[in-house]
Amino acid sequence: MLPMLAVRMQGICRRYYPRGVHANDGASLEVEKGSIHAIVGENGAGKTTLMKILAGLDLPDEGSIEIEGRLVKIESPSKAQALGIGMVQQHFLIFDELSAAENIFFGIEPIRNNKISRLAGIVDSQELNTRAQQLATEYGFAIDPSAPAASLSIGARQQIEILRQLARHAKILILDEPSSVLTEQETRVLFEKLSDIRRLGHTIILVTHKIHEVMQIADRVTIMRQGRTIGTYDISATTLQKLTSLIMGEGSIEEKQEPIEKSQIDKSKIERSQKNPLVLGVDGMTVRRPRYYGIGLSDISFEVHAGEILGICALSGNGLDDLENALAAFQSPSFGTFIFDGHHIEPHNYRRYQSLFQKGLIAYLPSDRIKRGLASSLSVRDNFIALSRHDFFPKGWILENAAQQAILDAIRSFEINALPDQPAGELSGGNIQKLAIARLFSRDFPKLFILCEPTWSLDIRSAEQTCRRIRLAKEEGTAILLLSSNIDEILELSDHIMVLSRGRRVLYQKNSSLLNRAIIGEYLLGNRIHG
Amino acid sequence: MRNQRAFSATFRVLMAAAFSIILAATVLLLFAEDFRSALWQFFVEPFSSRYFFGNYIADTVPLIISGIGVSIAFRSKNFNLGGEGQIYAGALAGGVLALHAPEAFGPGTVWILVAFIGAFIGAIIGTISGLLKAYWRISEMISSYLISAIIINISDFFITGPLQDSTSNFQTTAQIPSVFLLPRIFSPSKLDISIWLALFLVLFFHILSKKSKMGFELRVCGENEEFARYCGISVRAYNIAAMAISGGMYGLSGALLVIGPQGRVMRGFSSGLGWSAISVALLAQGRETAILPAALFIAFLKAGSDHVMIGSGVPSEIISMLQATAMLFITAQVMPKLWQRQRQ
Repeated sequence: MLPMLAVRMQGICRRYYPRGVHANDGASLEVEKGSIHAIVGENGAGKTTLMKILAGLDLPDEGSIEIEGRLVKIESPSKAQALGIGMVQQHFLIFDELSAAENIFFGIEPIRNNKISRLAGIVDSQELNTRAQQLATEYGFAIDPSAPAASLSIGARQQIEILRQLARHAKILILDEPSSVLTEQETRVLFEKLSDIRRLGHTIILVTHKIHEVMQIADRVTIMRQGRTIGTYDISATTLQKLTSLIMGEGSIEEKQEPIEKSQIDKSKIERSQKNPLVLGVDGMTVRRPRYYGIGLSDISFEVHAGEILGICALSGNGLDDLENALAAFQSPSFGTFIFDGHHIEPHNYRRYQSLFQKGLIAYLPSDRIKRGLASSLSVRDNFIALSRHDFFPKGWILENAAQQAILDAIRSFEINALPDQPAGELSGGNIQKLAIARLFSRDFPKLFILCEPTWSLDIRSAEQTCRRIRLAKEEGTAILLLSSNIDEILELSDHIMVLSRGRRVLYQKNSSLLNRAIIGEYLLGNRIHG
Repeated sequence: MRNQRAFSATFRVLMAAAFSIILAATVLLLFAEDFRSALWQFFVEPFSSRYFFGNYIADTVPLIISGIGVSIAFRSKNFNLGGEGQIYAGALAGGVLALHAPEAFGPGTVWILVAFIGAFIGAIIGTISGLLKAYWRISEMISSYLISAIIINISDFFITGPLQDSTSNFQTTAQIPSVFLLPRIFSPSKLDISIWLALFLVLFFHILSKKSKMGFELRVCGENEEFARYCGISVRAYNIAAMAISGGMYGLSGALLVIGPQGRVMRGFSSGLGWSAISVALLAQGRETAILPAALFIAFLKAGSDHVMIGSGVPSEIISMLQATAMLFITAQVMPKLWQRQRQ
């Protein structure tokens, strides 16, 4: 007999307008009752969207959902709750002013049993605390119901979120990246609790991109890529390596990876030709963040020399955004020294670093093209001249002909599908990207390029062209920092490679044939560390 | 496609204007003793004689000058709600100067000094809000409004206290010497030469915004602050500059009123003008050249309803409600568009 299915989702499509991005493109999911089911995939694979649809937080454009064999429509979170589905989101929704018990029973508080209280909705706080205590004991959580939520640790807050769903009789519990804000110990405690909850007959769906955790706790795993379901596997019948390559989308799973000997990778062996002068050296950069907002960066050091490309790779939430902000003069690091072209820059004189961008010594391509790289209702021409406006407003007044000529040249040589007077927000993602690249590469090469996700949303030909331009800049003696989550790009372009995981440097070495997607993937996922 | 969009935006505003006029007619029908004469008073009388027409145009001058300032600040997404106080303070400073200036200065110098001091005071007050926003992230809307409320009270104190004209029954300062008043150009109305300055300012800010680096950077700041930072534009400086410019324009229009149609600083003379200027800027949707028709329309609403109020005995409260509802129509048409832009 087939095992009972708790959840069966089929052909789920969710398109985000106006850009028409498919977050889910025919995704499917089958979860057995009473199991811990992991959903893994790279960023933007559509895991969270699929779960939001299951929890009634988002509506699918197409597709069907069955809960315990019954076809259902989940059009709201309260409908999901009625069906016994509860989701703990990545960012906790906790009222700091309320107690733990009040947070757990928020909205379903027990009311005092007399007429007036029922009418006025007066909460029976004693009963509230008793029930919270009962619930906590039942599932083996150690929580003081009357403790103010503000005083609780992150781990305890997460337990409150879980209890909140259990108090609403959730039989199917969804957790989105539950370990992303937890320490190792807290993660271990969480996993023990999840096993206990499963033993009591609940079904747990775990969204994550950490495969070693999946191997540790899950019974089955579904892999998603680009909005589609790649496959579902029994954990007992698969390996870490196989999962890694499936997630990364490597074709040849069968290819056996030779384990690398430690002696083969030795960070002290980063060789350089003596001729190339140091352009940017970073020493001990640390970015501290309040724990809610990510993990920041700890003690990152690297060097990039003239005519060299250093590729820096990380999965989202692992510190790449903090690194980008610090390097691009958007947010001063908490500690650490930059040495740019002989200038020492510390957090206290970070402004000096910002001025280097104004002088055109450093040029930067932001990863968030829309938010940081575009004024969407200004024209394509205005967007194009914004960065080098000093050239187009030499005495404070615009040189219209020069600006028009410059944008026409850029449209032609970068093959941008746009008109100079069109509002830039009307362009497609790929053309916005081309515009951003044109803006940087139409000027003289700087001493240092900071390029984040340079081929994002470009078609193959434009991506190749962009890579050619990057190589050209390198040959002209520009030092290049390439921040990307695209491993192929990093492997293809970089002279040296650095990998960040959980805000730490886990790999820093010369690019060679010893490195490939699978190996980088393992560093990215935090399975290997070789600082 | 772009023209089409500009057309539909204009169309919506025109629709709003038409709606408010239909509404006005309906209200007049309900409240006026003689509907036909009330209609005539509303729509035709403001244009019916040199005197009425001149006064109507004179009323647009402060709306144009203040409106252009608000509009420039809009460009950088700064909302100056302190116009009431800034006009008042500019008027008071200009009035005091005109009252105490020695005759030897000659009228030309005094006009320039008065205009300058009015603009300067307004700009200082605006700058305070700009600084508060730039350095402490205090909303410029709230700070400018609250500062204005304080300024109004302080100005009231001066007008009714140390500067009170003891020979007058009104709460007002003394009459400014007639040599220092701006020459009138359309007798017998109150229209004076400040209309030329208003037209010049529209042209000036139009060119500044379209052709200059400063205008360009201001637009980028208003469009997307993070993008402005990426381009190395000091968002902070433009927050301050925008508030200073709009404050300065408010102060200037106050000072010009004092040496123009008013001839003295009366308590509360500018009441409502600050808000009307915001309506003008909203109606113009951030286009400098559109300030002119917008100011003409808002001033027309006021002139028409004043005529009805006097001629047909419709109570002034009804007229105020009429104006408020008309503004509601217009903002309901304009605001969604502004929000849309912000969301992007």
